[in-house]
Amino acid sequence: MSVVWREGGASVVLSGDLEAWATQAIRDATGGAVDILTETLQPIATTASAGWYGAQGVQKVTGQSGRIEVVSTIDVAKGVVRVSVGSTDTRVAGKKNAPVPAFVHRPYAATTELKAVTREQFFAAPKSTRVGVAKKDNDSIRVKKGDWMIRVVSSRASDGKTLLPIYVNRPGKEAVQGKLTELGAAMAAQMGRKNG
Amino acid sequence: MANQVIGLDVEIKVANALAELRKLSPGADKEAKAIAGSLSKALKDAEKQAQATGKALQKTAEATKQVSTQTADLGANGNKALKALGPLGGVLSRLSPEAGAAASSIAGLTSAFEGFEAAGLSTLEPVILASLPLFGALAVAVGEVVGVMADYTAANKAAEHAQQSLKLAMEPLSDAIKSAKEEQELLNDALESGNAKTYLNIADLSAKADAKEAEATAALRKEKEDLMAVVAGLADDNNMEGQLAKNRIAEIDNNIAKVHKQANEYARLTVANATTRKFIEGTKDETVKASKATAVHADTLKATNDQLDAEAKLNERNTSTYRSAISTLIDIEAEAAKATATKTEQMAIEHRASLQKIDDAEREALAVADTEAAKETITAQAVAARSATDRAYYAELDKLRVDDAAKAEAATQAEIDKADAARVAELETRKAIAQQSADLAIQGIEAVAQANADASQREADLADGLQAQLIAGDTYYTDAQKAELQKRMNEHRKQARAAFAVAKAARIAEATITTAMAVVNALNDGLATGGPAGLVVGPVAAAAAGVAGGIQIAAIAAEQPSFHQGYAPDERSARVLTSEAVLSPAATAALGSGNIAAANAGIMGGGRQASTPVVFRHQTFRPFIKDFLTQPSALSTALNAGKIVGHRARS
Repeated sequence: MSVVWREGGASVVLSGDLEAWATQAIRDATGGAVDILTETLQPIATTASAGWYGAQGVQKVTGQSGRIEVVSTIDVAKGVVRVSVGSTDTRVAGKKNAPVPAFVHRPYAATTELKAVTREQFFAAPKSTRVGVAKKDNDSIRVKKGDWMIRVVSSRASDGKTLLPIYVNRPGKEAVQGKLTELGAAMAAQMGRKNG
Repeated sequence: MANQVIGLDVEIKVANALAELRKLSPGADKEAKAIAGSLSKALKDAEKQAQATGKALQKTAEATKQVSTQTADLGANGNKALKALGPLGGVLSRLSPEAGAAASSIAGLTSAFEGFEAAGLSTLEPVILASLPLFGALAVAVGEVVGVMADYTAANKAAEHAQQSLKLAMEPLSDAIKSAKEEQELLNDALESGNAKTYLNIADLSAKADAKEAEATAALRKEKEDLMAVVAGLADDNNMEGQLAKNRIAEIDNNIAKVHKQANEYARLTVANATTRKFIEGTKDETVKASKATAVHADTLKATNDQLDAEAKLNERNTSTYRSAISTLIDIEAEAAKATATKTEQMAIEHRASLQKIDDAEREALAVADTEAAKETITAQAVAARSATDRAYYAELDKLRVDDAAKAEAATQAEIDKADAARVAELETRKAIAQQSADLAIQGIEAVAQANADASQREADLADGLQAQLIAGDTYYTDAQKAELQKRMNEHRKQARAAFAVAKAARIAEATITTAMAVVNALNDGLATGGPAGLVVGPVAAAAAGVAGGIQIAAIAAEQPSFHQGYAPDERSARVLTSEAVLSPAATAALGSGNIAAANAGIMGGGRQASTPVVFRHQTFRPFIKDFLTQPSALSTALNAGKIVGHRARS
């Protein structure tokens, strides 16, 4: 978990003593509600990270989109503490600069992938599946330079659904909803202390 | 800036966070306020810096410098306070929990505190106890100072973080811009130099020299920087350590200057070498070009010499040929002149030469004769010699004339023979042509005669066919039909007679031509025989041929057509079978025509019915046809329309 201090358009990631102080500050300010959220969402983040690149996860592993973490942001201007769980990959793509992780999906039934084979296997394969010789290493698809490659149906062929709702949003909402009573009690206690 | 997390957000309002923070611990609100204030200020500065790029970076640097200065001052004060606090830390921890709590937040204080405690607290304890009131107040003051220092330290870290981030972000672009500007200046200088390429080459070599110089002096410059840092860190740079450092710095400067000098020398040599190399390469090129040009010139010269030699040989050969040709022409001309002179001229020339010799001999003899007698004798002999010469000459001349006359006669006879041969040949040619024309005419006439004979026979056959048809249908043909058949039959006979006449005329013409040719040939043969016999044999043979031809022509003219040319009033054409009989007029009169008709109809006397063979086109069909014609039918319709059914015209 990391803590971000945000004010206006600027934000910094706190660490060390500042992080400890900020953590304690928001813990006290929220009556422990942030801790409850953090503890609730942390398993979600861990599970999502494991499943993101798991057996049924994405095909092209870059290590960026699957970086799922819990981040607490103190927004001074708005007077809120935001506890977020999700991908910390800040890449954007497309004309609208949409965040990349929001569109990462797992393979669908007809998804193909490159497979390194021997030269004999390459020429034994159907001509339409032959790709050629890899010109450079590509760790994301586990291909080395000089490999003979053919295109085969992905062994991870699945339903092609987007991962973020599956691994983060839905379980996160369910988990938070399961903790609403506890969160309400904490916030109520904090309110009562303030009022009292 | 957007949210840094793509996923699920849960927000909690903490508007009263600062108020809650106050409740953390006594005095801690000030720390929190100070930290929060510093953070907010640093964050605002960072934001401005991010928006204002270079200026913000400069401002940040200045702010950082100020913060660093303040931090350094605070650090110095803090160090001093810590030094004073050090011996009292252990006491504070025992006597004042609040002060101890404040002090415990200071990183590093623990080690100093523990070190002090380990050094021997018991020995200082009475002093500490005696000074407790003072120490308590001092500890609080130190705590405040440390708190302020922590504030600035945090602010400094935040500012440095923002500054470093911006620097890292802009570093590649700044370096690229810097490099581009340097390259631009270099290129401008190169353009202004008038020889940009050379300038760039020299600049490239200088850059390499600079790089080598930088590489060579890197260690020295690092050492210098370290020494300068040491000197700057000294309170008094005139002490021994400072002097040594300064001396070493001066020595390093000298070494760097030496290296720079060497680098300049290296650059100069490099440029000179490059210039020399370029000159050598250019010279080499020129040399190669000159060598090639020389080789080409030598080749051209050699080719020219070869051509001149060839032309000289050709001229020499032409000259000898010309001379030989001239000589040959002269000889030919002489021979031609000689050949063109006539025999009589040659004889006249020779005669004059002989007379000239006689005159010369006479003149020489008279010149040497000393007496009149001798002179007379010489003159007489000369006259005799001239007479002999003249006689011989004229005799030869007469002989030559006789020969010429004989030759002329022979030539005339040859011409006559030649004319006779030509006349004979012409006659033969004419005879051949006439024979060929006659043959062709005979062939054509024969063809005409044969064609007309065939046509005549064909027309006669048609007429016979029609006559047979008329006879066969005599009893059932109508009068119109009979008239039609008779008309057509007459036309065919007329055409047959005409064709026969043409054929006969053609044969007569053929015989006439043949006879004429025979007569002519006989005459020719007789003439060819020659002599009186020929004059007799030729006409006799011609007459015989003419008589034979006349007989043949008469025979042809007497020919008559073989077909029946018409009926006499009491005649009728008939075609009979071998089993049939033809009665003479007397027998017919004896039997009676009615009886003959009844017998032909199979009706015999005595009421006997005679059997008649049923054959095609014979009487047994007659009743049937008759009945058939009495009823409306295709045949009766056709007959009534004037058409004849059942017979087709011959083609």
